[in-house]
Formats: sequence, structure tokens, C-alpha cells
Amino acid sequence: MKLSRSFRSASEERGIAIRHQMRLQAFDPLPAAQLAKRLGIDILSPLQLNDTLSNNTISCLLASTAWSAVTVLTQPPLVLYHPLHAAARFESSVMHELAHILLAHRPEDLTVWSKGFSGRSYPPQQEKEAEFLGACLQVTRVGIDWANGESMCLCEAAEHFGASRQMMQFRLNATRREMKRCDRCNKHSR
Amino acid sequence: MTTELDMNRLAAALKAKRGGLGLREAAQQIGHISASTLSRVENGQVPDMDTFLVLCDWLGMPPAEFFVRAEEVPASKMSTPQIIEAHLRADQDLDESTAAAIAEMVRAAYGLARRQNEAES
Repeated sequence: MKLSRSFRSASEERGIAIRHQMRLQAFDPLPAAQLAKRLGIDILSPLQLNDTLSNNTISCLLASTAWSAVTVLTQPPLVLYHPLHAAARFESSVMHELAHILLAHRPEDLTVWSKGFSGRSYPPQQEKEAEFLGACLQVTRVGIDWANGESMCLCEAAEHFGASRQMMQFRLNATRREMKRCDRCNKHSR
Repeated sequence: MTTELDMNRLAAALKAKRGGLGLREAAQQIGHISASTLSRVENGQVPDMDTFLVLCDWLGMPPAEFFVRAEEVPASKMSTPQIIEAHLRADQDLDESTAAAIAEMVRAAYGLARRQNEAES
């Protein structure tokens, strides 16, 4: 299941265009929360629903490592996130959900996650599209070139964009670029 | 109370602003949108959110102007799949208690969204 060249190219351009619309430079970081605000999408953690949720429910959600984000398809949509995840994972998870919304994807396949709880999932092709666009929104191709121009190593660039090292490598692979690595970069890649 | 996009109003506003300008020229003026996308929106196709915001910027109108109340389906008539209209980014093997907690969280979020819409109307 491959993404078309036109989709990939459009996604690369979109990461840059959205920054310009938000009066950012093409190489600036784009926090998912900032993009969500621009789009009029609320992002909430279960802690912000504590007047409605029981303590047991909140404890269960916080203790679980099985979920990272939920997009609730209200109008406008809102995104619920796991508040105890590392910052880079938060950025990746929420940006992925925002990508689905920007692509106007509608989950179709009804999945029974558990007795009494059914959710919908996106088709695999749409998951792949959101993965790619989400990554482009986090780290632009221009941003990679800029980071290289600034002699940043991979982990420094990852910190700049609020991304994980894995996300940076994903983007380097997608853009066919390389980036120097320091001892810290190499240590974490083992 | 849920809201939906008033496509008739959006389409009318776009056509009025565009006036005698061609679709291609208008799309260039708007930026980040193709002539074909503009045409589809003017003919009633719901745009994606990014496009919708760009159009609102061009029109000089806040996005909320185009949201209207949809007829609310009583919660008692909703089946569980209708209530849980959500995309879950999670492992496939959710245990029962976590799934139940997520369901409760999503329902709470629905309730919050409904209260916010009522407060804004």
C-alpha cells in the first residue's frame, strides 16, 4: 500500500503552508496544541473531565499504556489525549489525529473494542495517509535542511521540533536526507 | 445539541464574494485551494477543515457563522455505536476495564461538547 507521489508532495507542502498561514517560518516547530487551536479543535485530557468522570475511571485511564488518543467526532471534533505520555509521543499522537481531520477522513469500519463499546477505525490507506501528513506537519523538509544548515545533530533537531528521534528518522527517510549524529543520538539508536 | 455546517450559506457567501471573478482567479486569490475544490464547495460539497478555514479567512467571516444546530437525536434513541463516534488510537487488545473507561471518557466529552454548543447558542 503505497502513497502516491502527489499525495506525498502535497503533504510536504502542507506542512509548510500551514506554518505560513500561522505566521511561522517553514522551519519553526509547530506544536500540535497550537495547530489544534488554529483549527478550532479542543484537545483535552481525562483530567479536564474530572467533574464528570469517576476517580476510578480517571485512574484506569492514566494507568493504561494501551491508548494514546481518541478523536471524538463532534462538530467540531475534539481530541482526547493520554496526559502521562512523553511530550514527543503527545505531539505525534495528537498531530496524527489532526491529520485525519485535515484530510477529512471519516472512520468507517465499526470495531467492537469491548462489550458495550464500539468505535470506528479508519481504513489502512487512510491511516497511512495520516501517518505521513502528521509527520510532515511535525517536521518539514525545509526544517530538516535548516537544521542541517545549523549543524544540528539528529537529537538536537528532534528537540527543536518536539519530535522523537524515531520521527526524525522517519522524516529523514521520507525526504532522503541525512543528519549528523552525536554520541547521544547513536546511544539511543542502539 | 449538535451543530453542522450550513453549506447553503457557505456556498452563497462564496458565490456572492466571487461575483464575476472566474473560479481559477478566485482560487488564486484565496490561496491554498484549487479551482475545482472551490467549485465543489460552491456546489454543496463539505470542505475539509483546512479548506473551510481558508475560505472563512477570505470571506472575512468567522467559522462559527456557518455552524447551525442539527436536530438532536434523543440519547435514549441512540445505540452504543452512534454514541461512540470516535476514533481510538490504541492497541487492539484493550482490556475490558480500560475499554469501559475510554467509553465513559468519550461519553463525557460528548456531553461537554453538547453543553458548550448550548451555551454558545
